[in-house]
Amino acid sequence: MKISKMFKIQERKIYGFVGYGLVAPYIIYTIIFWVYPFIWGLIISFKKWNIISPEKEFIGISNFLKVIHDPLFWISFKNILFFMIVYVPIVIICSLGVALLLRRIKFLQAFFASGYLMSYVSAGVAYSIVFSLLFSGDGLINNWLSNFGITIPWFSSPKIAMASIAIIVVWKYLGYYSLIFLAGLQSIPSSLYESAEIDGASNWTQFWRITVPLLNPAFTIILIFAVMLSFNIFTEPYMITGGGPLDSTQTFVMQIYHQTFTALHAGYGSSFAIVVAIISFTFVFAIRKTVEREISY
Amino acid sequence: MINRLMTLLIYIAIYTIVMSCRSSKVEVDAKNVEYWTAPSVELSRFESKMVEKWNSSHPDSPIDWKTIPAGTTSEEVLLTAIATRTGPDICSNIFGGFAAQLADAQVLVALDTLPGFWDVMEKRKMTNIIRNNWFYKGHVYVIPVYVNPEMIWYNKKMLDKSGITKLPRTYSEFFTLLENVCISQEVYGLTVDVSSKWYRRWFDYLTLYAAASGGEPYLDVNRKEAFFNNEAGIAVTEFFFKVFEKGYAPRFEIQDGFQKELFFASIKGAGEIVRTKRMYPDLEYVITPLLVPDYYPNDAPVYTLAESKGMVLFNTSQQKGESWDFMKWYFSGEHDSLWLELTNFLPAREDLIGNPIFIEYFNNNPDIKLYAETLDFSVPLVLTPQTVEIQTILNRELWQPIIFGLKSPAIASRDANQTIQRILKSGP
Repeated sequence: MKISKMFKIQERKIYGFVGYGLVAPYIIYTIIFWVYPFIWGLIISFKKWNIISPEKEFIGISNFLKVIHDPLFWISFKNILFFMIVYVPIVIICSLGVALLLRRIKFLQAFFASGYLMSYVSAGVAYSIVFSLLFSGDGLINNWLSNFGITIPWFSSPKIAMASIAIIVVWKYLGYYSLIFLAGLQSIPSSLYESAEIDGASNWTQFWRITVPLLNPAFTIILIFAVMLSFNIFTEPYMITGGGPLDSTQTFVMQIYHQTFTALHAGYGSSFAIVVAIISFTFVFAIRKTVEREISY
Repeated sequence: MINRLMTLLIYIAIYTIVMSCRSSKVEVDAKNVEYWTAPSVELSRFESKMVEKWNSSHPDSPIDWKTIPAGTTSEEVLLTAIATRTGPDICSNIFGGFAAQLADAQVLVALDTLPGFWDVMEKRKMTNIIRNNWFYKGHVYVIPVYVNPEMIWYNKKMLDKSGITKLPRTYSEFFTLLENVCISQEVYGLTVDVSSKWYRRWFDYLTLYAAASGGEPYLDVNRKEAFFNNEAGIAVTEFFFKVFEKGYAPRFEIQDGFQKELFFASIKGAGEIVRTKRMYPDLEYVITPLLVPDYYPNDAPVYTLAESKGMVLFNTSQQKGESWDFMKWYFSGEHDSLWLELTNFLPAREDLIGNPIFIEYFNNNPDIKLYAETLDFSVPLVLTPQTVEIQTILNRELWQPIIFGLKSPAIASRDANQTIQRILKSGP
């Protein structure tokens, strides 16, 4: 073998080690905190177990059948769909609007962008408490509204409690999604707009014919994030409404948490989680199939 | 190559898990008796003094004390700790239902099997309390530390303003007063917790049930029966239904509504007195026994529900002997006047009224004495490992529909009773 070829093989080996070394922490993390709990969750979903007892009784698919017949599963599903209907369009329209505004800003763009990101990095429990105080029956917002003779039962009316929570979650994720849209907008070549302008296309036409189609990757990823978040929503309803009033803010994760850690039905909680994961993946798969498009500039 | 590396990574992961488990086991073996208590300022003041006293007099078996780490509820934090084997040897702040769950999971020591148990109970004057209320499946797993009975508070200014001299005893008398006192959306009649947190039902529905039923339990765990659909259950449901229907309570939360003088009356435990005095020193109120239905005999005593928290010993403890020694010392009865002084919670003992060591305290705290006087007519929570499930169903089938007027009281009582009975029969 030629010496140069041997060096090349050695070099490739070294690069390989460096590469695997760099991803190793993430793989270890994934194995410990995702793969292991997932397999464990899968195993206990076929068992009756109360977390603390050493005894685990194998009960086949009983837990899964119980999930399907649990009225709270369907109530949570309905609530999640309602949340999605309110949350997804609002967060997408608002974050796209903010991204379009940010793109027009010539100075301090990063400052404003990171300003919007502040809500994303704030602690869920902390802002949930702040919002629950602000919007409570005797909170600041209602005190101010009472000057006009209006009181809105933000979290105490079964009809609007979930929508109120959706609005809070929009506030949290607006900045993050805006940044994704902004990155998408910045990747669209300006030459496309220039040639469209020369052809006499209006701003509106440019938006619908250039911006929207070319934002498809950003739009798809945000849609997937938003839908997955809807399935995973927990902190806000748990902290603010506790699932009430009249179960109108019950969510899947709240049920999983309640069954596992409060009622001590860990097996049932696991099977609940698996069913929810299957539904959630189905939604994501459907979105990718219907929305995702390959784009080229 | 990739396969080798993946194998190596998996080995590293497994090694990390095994080593972390091993190291925690070593820690468990080497540590002192670990004692966890409620994360409350008042209770911590007492516990720190107790641990200090114990450690100075028992240097050979010191106690490591800490409050239960922060979490949504103490129960959830403890469960996680037990499941991960990082829990304490002894823990207080355990309610009966949770103790029953832990006992079923075989993680608690049956305390009545330990030497000198009944002597300690006798010393603290709590033998009857234990015999009547704290046996679960033939054993005692938790020793109650304190009891917190509920009574009803009325705003004194509103009483004086309306010229009310006779306080109501029955629901009808109460509603008649509310017609005069309440002002639409300005002054409400009764604070009622509208949240669907399962444990909140101890402080409203189940409390009034204890009064309406003359102290009868709301469940018979052995016969797997619920009693929410009887005369008392329906009367209490009708009472709350009317409170919401007439607008005497809002369908949203108002923090400290009674203390802010937005409400005429409120059901509260003795534990609220000190906080209210500290935060709302100008508030004047009158404390009386709970309301009862109109059918309730005039000469019968009014019962109440007393939430109670106690201490347990985990059988995972490596120092059971030392832990039990500490518990015996803790419940020797000698520390209860200090307990009252520092926490203002009523110790779970039968001789609070009449024992000379408490006279001075009660003379200085007449409001708390009122609560102590009800202890003979206070009933405890039913010991069942299904407490959470039962009260979650109570919320879903009865409480929330009543708040929003979606079910009649009779139907809500029937639905709740049927579902709870089904749950009792299916077991934990």
